[in-house]
Amino acid sequence: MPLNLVELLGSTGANMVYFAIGLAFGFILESAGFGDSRKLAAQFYFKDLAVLQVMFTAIVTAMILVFWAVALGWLDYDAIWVNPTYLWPGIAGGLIMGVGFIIGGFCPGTSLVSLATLKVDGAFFVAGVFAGIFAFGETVETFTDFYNSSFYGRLTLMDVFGLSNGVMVLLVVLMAIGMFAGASFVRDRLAVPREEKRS
Amino acid sequence: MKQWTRWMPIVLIILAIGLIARGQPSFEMKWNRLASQFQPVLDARSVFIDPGELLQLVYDHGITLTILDVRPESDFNVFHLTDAVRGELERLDQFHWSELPSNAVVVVMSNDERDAVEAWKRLKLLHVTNAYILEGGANGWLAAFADPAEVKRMDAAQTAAGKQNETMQFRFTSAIGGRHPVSRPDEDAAKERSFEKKVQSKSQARKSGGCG
Repeated sequence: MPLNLVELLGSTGANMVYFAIGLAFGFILESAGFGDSRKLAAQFYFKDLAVLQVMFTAIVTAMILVFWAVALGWLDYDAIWVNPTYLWPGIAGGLIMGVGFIIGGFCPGTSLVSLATLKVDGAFFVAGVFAGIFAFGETVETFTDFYNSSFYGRLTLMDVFGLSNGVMVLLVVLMAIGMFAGASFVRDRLAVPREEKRS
Repeated sequence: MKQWTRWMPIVLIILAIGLIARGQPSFEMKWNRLASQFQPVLDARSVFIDPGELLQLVYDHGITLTILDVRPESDFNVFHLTDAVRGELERLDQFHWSELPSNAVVVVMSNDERDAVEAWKRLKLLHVTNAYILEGGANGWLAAFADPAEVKRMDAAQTAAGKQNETMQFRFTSAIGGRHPVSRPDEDAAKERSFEKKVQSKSQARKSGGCG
C-alpha cells in the first residue's frame, strides 16, 4: 500500500518530511547551478549542457530505482501518480513553457531557487508566474473545451509503444547515454572556437 | 572525467537488462501480496450486492455509478444493463479509474460471479476504492427482474452447465443490448426485494503530483 506519511507521522511529522525533501531538492538545484538564469539559458544555445545532463541523470536514476523496486515487490506501480495526458493542451502548454524558459531563463522550480538566493531576475520571474497562474484561473472558462480535449488518461511510454517496462527502461537508458555523449561532443565542438577566439 | 563515471553507462545498461530478465510482477504475484487484505472480504461476501441494491444505485443521482460488464462481447450485445460499460479482464488497467470522483461506486458483473470476482481483484490492485460485485451476475439480475413471458430461462441441465461455464442462462429473441425493459427496470422493482445494503461510498484522498 502507498506510504501514508500523515498516518505514520501525523501532519506535523509529514510536513517536516516534505520540508526536508524540499530542502534537499532546492539544495541540489542550487548546487547544480540551476539558480542562475544564464546557465539555464545557455542550454538552448548548446554552450552549457549541465541542465540536460543533470535532468537526464535524475530521470534515469529514478526510473531504474522505481522499476527495480516494482520488480522486487517493494513498490506498487499502479499506486504511483502519473499525470493524465491531454495531448494537444499538453503540447500547447509545453510550447508556452519552453518559450518562457528561453526568454526568462527559468522554469517555475528553478525560479524559486533563484528567488531563494535573492536574485532579481528570479524574483521578477516568480512574480510573472503568479500573475500567469492568476490570469489562467480567470480565463480558463473561455477555453475549457480545448483544455479538456484529447484526453488519454494515464499514458506511459510502455502503453504507447506496447513494450514491457524492462525494454522501455533499457531504451531510455540508451537514449540518455546517447544524449550525454552527444552533449559532450557538441559542447567540445563549440568550446574550441571560443578558445581560439580568445587567443 | 572521473574514473567511476566511465563505468556508469555500463552499470545502467546492466541494471536495465537485469530488469528485463527479472520481469515485472504478474497479476497473480500482486494479488498474492494483497490477498490477506482482500480475500476475507470476498469470503465474507461483503462486496456482493443484491440486484435490488444495484437498481437503487442506478436511480441514485447522488453517486457516480459505473457498471462494469466483463462478459463476452456477444453476450453484452444481446443484453446489458443500461449505461453499463464493457471491459475485458486483461485490459481493465486501460480504464481511467483515477479520473473517477473519489467517492464513485463501481459494480462489476459477469454472467455469474466467477469472472466478476477476477475483475474485482484487478480493480482492487488498481486501487479502485468502492468496487462491488453484482450477486449472481447478469443471470441473477434477470432472475430478479425479467418477465418470464418475455425472457425464457433455459432448462435445469443447461442452467447448471451455464453456471459452470459463466454463460447466460436466459434466452433473448433478439440482441437489443441496453434497450430491453429489463436493462433498466422501474425503480419500484427494488422495493419488492429484501436485501442487506452493503454499498458504502468511501472517499479516497486525491493523488496528484508534478514538477515545474
